[in-house]
Amino acid sequence: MTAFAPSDAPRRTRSFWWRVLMQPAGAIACAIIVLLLAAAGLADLLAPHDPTRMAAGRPLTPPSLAYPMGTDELGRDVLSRIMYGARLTLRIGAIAVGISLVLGLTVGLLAAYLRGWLEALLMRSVDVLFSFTETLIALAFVAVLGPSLTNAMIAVGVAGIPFYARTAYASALSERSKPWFEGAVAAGAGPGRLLFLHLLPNVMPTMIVVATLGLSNAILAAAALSFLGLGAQPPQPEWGFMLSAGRDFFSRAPWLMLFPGLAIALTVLAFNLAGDALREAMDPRSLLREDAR
Amino acid sequence: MTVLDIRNLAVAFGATPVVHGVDLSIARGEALALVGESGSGKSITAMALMGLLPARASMTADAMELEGQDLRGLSDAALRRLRGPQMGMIFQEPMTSLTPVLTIGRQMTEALRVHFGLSGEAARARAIDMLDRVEISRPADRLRQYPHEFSGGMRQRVMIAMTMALEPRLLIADEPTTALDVTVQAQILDLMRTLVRETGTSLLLITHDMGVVAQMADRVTVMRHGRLVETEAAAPLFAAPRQDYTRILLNSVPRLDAPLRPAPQPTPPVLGFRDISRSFAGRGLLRRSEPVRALDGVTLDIARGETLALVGESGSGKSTLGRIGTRLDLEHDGRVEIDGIDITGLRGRALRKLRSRVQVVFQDPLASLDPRFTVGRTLGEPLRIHQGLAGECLRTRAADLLAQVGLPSSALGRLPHEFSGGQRQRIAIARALAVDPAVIVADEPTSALDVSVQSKVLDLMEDLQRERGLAYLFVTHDLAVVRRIAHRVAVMRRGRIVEMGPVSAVLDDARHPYTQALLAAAPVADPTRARRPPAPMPHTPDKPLSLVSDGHWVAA
Repeated sequence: MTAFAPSDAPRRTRSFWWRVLMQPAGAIACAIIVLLLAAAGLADLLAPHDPTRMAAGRPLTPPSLAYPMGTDELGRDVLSRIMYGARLTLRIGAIAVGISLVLGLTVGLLAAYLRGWLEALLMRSVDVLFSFTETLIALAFVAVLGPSLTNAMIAVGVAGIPFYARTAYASALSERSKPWFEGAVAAGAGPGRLLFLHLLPNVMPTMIVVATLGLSNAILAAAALSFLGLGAQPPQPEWGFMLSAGRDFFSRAPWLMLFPGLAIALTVLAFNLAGDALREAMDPRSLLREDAR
Repeated sequence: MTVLDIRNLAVAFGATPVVHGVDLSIARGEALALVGESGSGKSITAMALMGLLPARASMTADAMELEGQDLRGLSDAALRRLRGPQMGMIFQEPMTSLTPVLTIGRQMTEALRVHFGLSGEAARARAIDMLDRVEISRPADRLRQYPHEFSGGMRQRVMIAMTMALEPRLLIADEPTTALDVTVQAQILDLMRTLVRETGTSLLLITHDMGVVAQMADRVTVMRHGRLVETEAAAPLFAAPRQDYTRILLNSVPRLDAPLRPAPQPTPPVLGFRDISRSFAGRGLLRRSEPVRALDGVTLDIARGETLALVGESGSGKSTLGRIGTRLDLEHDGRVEIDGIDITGLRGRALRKLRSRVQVVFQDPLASLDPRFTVGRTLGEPLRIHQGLAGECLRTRAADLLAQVGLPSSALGRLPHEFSGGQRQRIAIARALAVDPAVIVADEPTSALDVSVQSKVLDLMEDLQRERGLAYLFVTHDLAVVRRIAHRVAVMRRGRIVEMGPVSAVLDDARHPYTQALLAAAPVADPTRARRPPAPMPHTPDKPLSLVSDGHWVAA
């Protein structure tokens, strides 16, 4: 009889989040995201002005101590608008990705689990959606639903479904062909158990990485829609919309485009880096690399 | 004349020493086998020698010389020049050692041109000559082919041809035949023996298989836990091992001449296969290719308390039959019966209920447990489903199951990756036992385990069979394991049963040429046994099974 000794299997020496933060990408991403969350969460306390109050200062004041990012053509404080805009941006990202993730996972898991004609139907539909660019689908959606921030979120979310569905499908397919899945089938597990207790938790790590990377995509897409006037409506302090409104004054007041643009770029960068860091930390091969150091 | 001399080699990963004070020396033309179980440090020792240790490893040695040249502290470039003409290497999986995007010819001639400065034409001639020597037919044509166009055994021949073309002083072979079928293994070993003898190359053979050691080695070094246990000439080591560990290792090896298990009382069959056929639709890129016939009219019965071994080489259909028996594969022709009742058409809830009668244990114990389920959840799952247990009751029952396979209840809260291979296989067996099945289909359950662990798992399976009257359908490629565990055996080839009967009848009085070839190829852990050259496989169409003696059926 074998003694019950600690096994020869690799030990997890450090916690998962530690591995994420120890990478430069992870640390930078985390810093920006914390900043963003603080700006969004504490906007009521920290923002110097009401983001929609006109004539908080003289119109088109350049950045100064009183107005660190200047004021826009209606005299609204750009810093305050950026801070409140962070709320909108995060909400857009979360809701759009939420829609893509939930629906994409459902389609992908079902297709991989059911096989047969339903698999063909689901995945071929996804392929058809995939053949259009995301922005085009989102545009078509907003065109039907009408321009508003909520519709833009839904549109971006729906446009993202094919990618999430494909990823979930591929991952679930590889998991279900492994012996442990067949072991669970042999143990008598029914469809609910197999789908929710076995497949879903094993597919989730991949999907979390995809969703994190997808956040930046969704934020960018929603900003683009708002820029085109199909998303946020005045006076909402949405970054994409602010960028678009600043165009007319670009030569006189470049800060109107600089700061929203910077905010979008930094946010997108942060989520991209975060996704990379998560992927790296979850990749078993990266564990080996770390050991090798 | 010493080719390789290593003294007091130590390797550590960070602060953890993994190899301590190992001495190795190999004379010209000598074959040294380095044996040990997983974690013994045998592969690390070889990697240190080849300069392939990972960057985190630190290595010290009093001496490490190949042909008098000090290997310690050589630069990567200097090592690269050594590999090939000085040190040839053959690994377990030839596909990973060959570049898939280049033709065999390109890969073979490149090494010859780089190391020997041969011209294109001369290199080609030498490559053809080498392929010819490893008995690859039409070598000139074969040079234009890519690695994927060769079978596993052929690829290993190509690998050997490539390596031996450079006439290395030392050939390092790391589990060179572990991934191959026994008949192919016998041919490859025979080939390596011949080439080594002809060229005077020294051989360092790293393996876990005592049968391979007995056939190949002049001397044997046994390692355990990173230490050298003993080094001894092969014949005395096998005849009278001095160290306890070597003795245990040798005793754990299942033998083809071991005593048989007594046959159980005849009982009605619990699991029956009736004329089972299964084809896999081949799918080409543009056109549908011919379907592959994995099973062709197989009929079998397994009785209560009986172990029926299913043997054959890869592609013989033995695993497919096992999957059909466990109802993991439902797309077949023919009928499957449990306790004489046809269950072929059952689906959904009715099928799930019936699953408690037939359970399964897979080859790879890590892959067969959900990586995110604790042992308690894995064991609890069938109990919850079939017996509706919950709470404390469930826990007690799961702990009880663990105790039956020799694990403490503290294992319940742990995840699969925290266990060793043998422990995981015990957990998989416990899960199969949870629902009190009549039959367990075990698909190569011990092939991924070390011999000493294999022996304990086989003991456990035997004990459980005695206590519970379990029937096993035991899928394996290892005839010695068959002898150890089975009552009856069915030999399969290309989807058909070619010979079936009591173990004694089939193994001691094999009638079918394929069974005879399998028996001849099985490596025997005894260096004094005459090495029989592998017989060429006859390609005769099989006739229907006919009875030759009591319960012994042969298709010939």
